[in-house]
Amino acid sequence: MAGIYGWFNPAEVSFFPPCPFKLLTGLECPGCGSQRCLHQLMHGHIRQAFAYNPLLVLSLPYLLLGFLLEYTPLGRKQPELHRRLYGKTASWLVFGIVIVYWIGRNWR
Amino acid sequence: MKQYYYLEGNQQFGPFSLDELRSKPIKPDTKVWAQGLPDWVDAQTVPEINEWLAGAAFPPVTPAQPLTEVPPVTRPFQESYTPNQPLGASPPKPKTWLVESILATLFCCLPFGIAGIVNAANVDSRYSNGDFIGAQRASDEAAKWTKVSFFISIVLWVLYFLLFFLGIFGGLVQSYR
Repeated sequence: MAGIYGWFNPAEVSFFPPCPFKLLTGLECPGCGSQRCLHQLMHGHIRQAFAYNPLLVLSLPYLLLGFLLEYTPLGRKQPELHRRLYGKTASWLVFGIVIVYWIGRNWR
Repeated sequence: MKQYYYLEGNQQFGPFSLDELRSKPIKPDTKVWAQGLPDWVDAQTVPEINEWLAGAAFPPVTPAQPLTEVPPVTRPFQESYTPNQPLGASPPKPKTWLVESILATLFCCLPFGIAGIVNAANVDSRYSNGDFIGAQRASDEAAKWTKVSFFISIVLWVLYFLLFFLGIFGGLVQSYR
């Protein structure tokens, strides 16, 4: 799967599925551009990746840390960090960011 | 070891081990809850509690009562936790699915991931309010939405891929006719 996204550029070939939400409403969802973004990231093009989906690029370090804390022994060593960064406040913050981003990217 | 809670009126008591629970005023219709139970249930419906509820009006006082008498296979309750998880004073916090929900939001192109994020927040706030059952429910809900959006996107991806190449194949067949 990763190989497919690395090898082909979703911006140029057409066998990558479009976003169903965008197809139905014409509006962009918070995940639109993720496939193109991923392709650019795999080639180290942070700037282009950012242009396709800035939220994905910005949240990757957070997601990575979250996975480490959840699925590796690191989480047991740092329960306080896990609680603070991935607790209810963080969840609502993420929710807010996603909604604002969703509205914001359709505003232009 | 399994931790048990019981209700008296609206007051919640616990956690207790099965042994400690014996010394509490548990009646057959006392509401109890332990990990893996979906909700508060009558004490008599929990096999390992009913075992001593039915038999002894006076709880046996032998301190070295082997707990392993309850064969785990006969327990009809689904264990929703990984066994051998360290247990503190309260049951372990159910998984919030926050990270998975964000991934679903960013990659599955469906608003279901957002439902996952909301439930992730609910897991944590209910857990810190002591509502362990509510937290577990929110966790299940979050898991459900994350999985729904994951599977829908996998199915869409595969369908799209298949249709695309069937289309190419069809086009080739047509052009050779």
